[in-house]
Amino acid sequence: MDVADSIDTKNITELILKLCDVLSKHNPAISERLSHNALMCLSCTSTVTTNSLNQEEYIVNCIRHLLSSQSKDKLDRFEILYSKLKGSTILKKRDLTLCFLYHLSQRLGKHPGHPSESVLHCSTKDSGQILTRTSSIALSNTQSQESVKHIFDSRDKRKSHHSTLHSNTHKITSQTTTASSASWSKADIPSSSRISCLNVVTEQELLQDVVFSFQGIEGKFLRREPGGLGFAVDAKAGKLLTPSQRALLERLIGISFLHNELKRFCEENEKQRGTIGQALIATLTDELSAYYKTVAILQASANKPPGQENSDMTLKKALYVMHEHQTRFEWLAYIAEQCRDKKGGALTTAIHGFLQHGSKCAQEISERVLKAVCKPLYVMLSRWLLDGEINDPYNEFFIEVKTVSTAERLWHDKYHVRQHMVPSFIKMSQAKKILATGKSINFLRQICKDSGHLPGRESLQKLFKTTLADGLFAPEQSIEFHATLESVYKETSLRVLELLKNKYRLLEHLQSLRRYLLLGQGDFIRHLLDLLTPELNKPAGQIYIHTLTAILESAIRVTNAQYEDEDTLKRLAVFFMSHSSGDTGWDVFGLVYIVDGPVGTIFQQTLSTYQSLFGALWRAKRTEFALANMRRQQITMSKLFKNIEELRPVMHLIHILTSKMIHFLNQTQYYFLFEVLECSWAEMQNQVNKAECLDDIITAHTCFLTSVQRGVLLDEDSRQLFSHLISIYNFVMNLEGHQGALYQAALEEHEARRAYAAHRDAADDFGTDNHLQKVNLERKATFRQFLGTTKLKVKTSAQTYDEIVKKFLGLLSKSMNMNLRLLCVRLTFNNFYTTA
Amino acid sequence: MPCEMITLQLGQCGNQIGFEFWKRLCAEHGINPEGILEDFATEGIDRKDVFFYQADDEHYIPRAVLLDLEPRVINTILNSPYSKLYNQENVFLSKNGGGAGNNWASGYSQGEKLNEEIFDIIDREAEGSDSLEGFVLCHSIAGGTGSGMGSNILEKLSDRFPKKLVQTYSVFPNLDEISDVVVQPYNSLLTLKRLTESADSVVVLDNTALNRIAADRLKIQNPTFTQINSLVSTIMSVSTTTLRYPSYMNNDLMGLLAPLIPTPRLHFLMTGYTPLSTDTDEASVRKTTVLDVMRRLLQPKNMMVSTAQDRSSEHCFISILNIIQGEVDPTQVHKSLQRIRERKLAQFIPWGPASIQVALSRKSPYIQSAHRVSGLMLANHTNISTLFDRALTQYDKLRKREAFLDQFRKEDMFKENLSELDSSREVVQDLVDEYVAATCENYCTREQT
Repeated sequence: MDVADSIDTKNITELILKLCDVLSKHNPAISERLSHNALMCLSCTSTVTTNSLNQEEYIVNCIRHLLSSQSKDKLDRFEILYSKLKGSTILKKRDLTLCFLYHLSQRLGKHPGHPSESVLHCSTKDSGQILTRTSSIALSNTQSQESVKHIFDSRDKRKSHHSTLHSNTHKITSQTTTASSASWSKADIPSSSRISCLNVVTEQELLQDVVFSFQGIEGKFLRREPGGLGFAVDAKAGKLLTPSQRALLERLIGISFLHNELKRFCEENEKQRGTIGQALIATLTDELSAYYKTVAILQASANKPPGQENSDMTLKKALYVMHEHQTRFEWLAYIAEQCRDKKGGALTTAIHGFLQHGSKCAQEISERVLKAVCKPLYVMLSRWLLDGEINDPYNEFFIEVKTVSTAERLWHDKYHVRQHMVPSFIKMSQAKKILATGKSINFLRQICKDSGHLPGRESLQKLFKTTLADGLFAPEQSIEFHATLESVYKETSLRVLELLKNKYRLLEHLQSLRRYLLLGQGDFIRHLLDLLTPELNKPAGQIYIHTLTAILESAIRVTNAQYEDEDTLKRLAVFFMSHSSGDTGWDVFGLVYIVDGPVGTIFQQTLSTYQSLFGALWRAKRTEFALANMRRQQITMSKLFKNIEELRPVMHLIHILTSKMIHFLNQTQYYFLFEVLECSWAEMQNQVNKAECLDDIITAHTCFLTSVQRGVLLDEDSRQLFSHLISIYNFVMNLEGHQGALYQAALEEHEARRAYAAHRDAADDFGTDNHLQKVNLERKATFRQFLGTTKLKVKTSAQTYDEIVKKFLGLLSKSMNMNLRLLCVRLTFNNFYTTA
Repeated sequence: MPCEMITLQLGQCGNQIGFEFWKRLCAEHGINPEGILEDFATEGIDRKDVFFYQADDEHYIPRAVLLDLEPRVINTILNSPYSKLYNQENVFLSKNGGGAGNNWASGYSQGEKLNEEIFDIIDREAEGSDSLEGFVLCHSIAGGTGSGMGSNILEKLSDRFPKKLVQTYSVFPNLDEISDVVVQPYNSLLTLKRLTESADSVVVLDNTALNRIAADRLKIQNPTFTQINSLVSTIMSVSTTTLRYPSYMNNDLMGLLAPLIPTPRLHFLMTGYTPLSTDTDEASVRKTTVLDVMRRLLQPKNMMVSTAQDRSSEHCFISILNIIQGEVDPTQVHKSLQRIRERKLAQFIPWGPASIQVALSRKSPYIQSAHRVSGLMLANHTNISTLFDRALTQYDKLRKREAFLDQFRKEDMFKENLSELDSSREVVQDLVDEYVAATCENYCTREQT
């Protein structure tokens, strides 16, 4: 507009001529024709332009009159447009504009043009034509030139007036074409450019090529990209194309590229991708079919000979028609790209990512694909949750099956969550619950041989019947799905727990393990020790398992173990470790508790732990028992040998050392049994009672064992402590040996003295047998000597013992484990070891 | 069943506390006065066999031997609802029925004479058990039968069963009131010698302290024998609870005594119990915690032994075993021990490691208790020697005046001389010395020349 203002009106004709020259690419013939046309158009408009400033009302009425004579619709339409026009502030000279339009219409009325004018058409109308005309108007009348300028402005810049103007504009076009039908030879195809008409390449030819390319076939202009999937405009043939044609073609072949891509994706993956992949391919194929349908229609309309009805397909139109497919294809291709090399759950995850995409189109498409893709997953899931079956030949499901060696391992090893196959709309925790649910079903069926009806299946079955695969990921429906899943999981787990607790006596087994392997049944263990001691003192090679089994049975018979459940007692057995030379029975003996069947799942893997725990506790118990027996012997000795005065000093040493040992053993045992075992047990019971599934129980049980292991110094950190403990035990056994020897010697001495006294008394007179007296004195001397060496041994023992205990306490006090530090406090409660 | 205990109750006092003891055991094990298991009682929790044996007709019969030289108390028992409980063959009454006249010497010599008959019963009982752990003797040391005959039986027991444990519950006379038994100091001293030499563990039940506790703690002004004896029976039953309710530890008497008695002679144990309540006194202490219990057990006012509390003295604990019953969280025990250690509530020997050992024990499910937690302390404390010291002083006073020795001289043992009294004095003095020595660091090198 500014440019127009700055140019002198006199120069308009010159400008028109110049413009025509440029447009015709300096072809004087065309230029002349154009300028002639333009000037004629402008001049004839100007002749009818009789403007009056105040004639708006009049003109409007004239238009109304004219339109009412044609049709009511047109009149109505005009009224709407006019009211809009009045409301607009952009058109300053409304009356002139209207006048111009009115005259135009009158002129057109005399030359009826082609009735079919599409909107598409108008919108892409070359502005040059209008400019030409407006310029010619301006030649005769500046006022009208002004108004035309306005029309031009508004038309070009303001789409809001598009509708008002376009009906007029295209009439102008028709008029123009009629007027110059000779020169506009291809005017039937409303071309994108005037100039294209001048070239040999027709729109139809191009269209055909495009349609071919849409199906992946090469054409005249569109050639396959070397090494690529898409098409490219043939370099040679492309020279004939106008830039705009080329641009259009290039836009259109984008669709072809996408089509090829998708098609290739389908072909490549058709055979190998499993059900979920197949579902994806199927969806893509559906999309392709819809696309082919459109292409077919496009082809049909392109094939129609020119001039025939509906044969007005253009490249632009095609672009428009294919637009929807294009966007869809873009997203599909993108999705397909993301799914490349993925399968199963991972594939759904890839697609699920698009669901949150900002583009609505992407959302719709991904939802459609996801729905399709989830169908097979949904079927697998339903089979798994309902029957615990997995039918997954392509390993797509997020639960995998492995083969297991024993029934006890089923729970632990057979089923796993394939992490990378878990769809992103299923949380890991949920996946674990899904795993547990199916696993529980299998556990019930295969291990517990429980073919009973499973609880909560109805709701699940109903859910699977009534909802579709989108229940998995669609937010509203997935709530229901997950809620059902949750309840089914809970009920199934509970069923497993109930069965284990009630039918398979899980809690009783735990109790029994504590009672017999962890020495909870004190009277039984004590009696067993009592009965076993003579047998286990033998070398390991001389011990027979049947002897020990018989001892075990008699220990059961007379202690409170006899009231135990028969099943429990049957499971209790003697265990023999392999022995090497020098081992005594103590080194190889063990108790086992055989747990098989469904509860074996919990216990089987922990048996070795129980064995080592039994070993440690049994050893401590044995030492305690040995000390108690030593004490008993000491009491007997003090009564029996009260007359052997020489015995007292050494016995006093032994008494003191024994008390120290008893104190140590009692404190550590108390710690092991009450603080470690009982506390851990209480914690486990708490956990077991709260347990919602078998895994909870397994975890609680494992925690229990770990904490007991730690407590009784069997863990890695306590190796040194444990070895000290063992040497302390050895000291006790050592002292037991000394005391035993002492007892034997004292007993012999006692007997000898008695015999000597009896003999002496028998000799009624005072006559002493010199020989006997000498023997008596010699024996006494030997005995004293023996006492002396024993005393020395005991003394050294006592010293070394104190040192080891101090070392042990030192380690305890530095331990990271709070409880061990407390044990240290206990062992030196009166600061005996700290101050001494 | 292993670890059986045979109970011998001697004399008036022994039979009375024994009677209360069996009453209580029956209640705890769900055995009715006729020896039949109650319907509510179940097997497997407790071990009845330690103190009872089962007759063919499903009767539970106490491994008890009732001995007396006069029929009064035993007749009361035999006329009680519990008469059918006992094996009638185990009830031994002297034929002359005259008693021992509160004379140790008379009791001792009658015991000597009746020896065979008595040991027929004891041997039969011992043979009837699978693996006898030992004997429990209930008696008083001041009277005639319990002290005299008891002494005799103690000597014989240690000769005949040197490998069996002999534990006694010995009632020491009340020194707060003037006894009508004038020869009490003689009786006590002579019995103490046997308790020192022939018993392996003596639970001292001091009547002085028991009466004081009844008066001060239970607010009973003139406590009856029954009330005192129910206190005693509580102590007896709780101290055997770990034997009767097996758990991880202390399941036999040796296991119970081994940590308490460091050297054979230092085997006199004092007891304490809390919370104390009688039938009339409904739970004065309700919210008892483990710490409360363990702290109170260390207070002298709860001890069943009236020892002179001299703070400046060197007396100290040789060992302590607390048997805690009730709802106990094992972790609480440790906290309590820490607290006691920090506040130095207990003084221990300097010559060896010592601490408060704890045995957590189950309770009878058939007896409802108002207390959440209750505890019995068995302690070996050097100041028990003050009790013996007192006995020595009293003996010396009497002996100086040569008073009331005529009755003794009548018996064979003292016909020629009174050397038995002297030797007894020596033994008791030795015992006192050893306890005093045990307060010193060099106790462990004692006896070394």
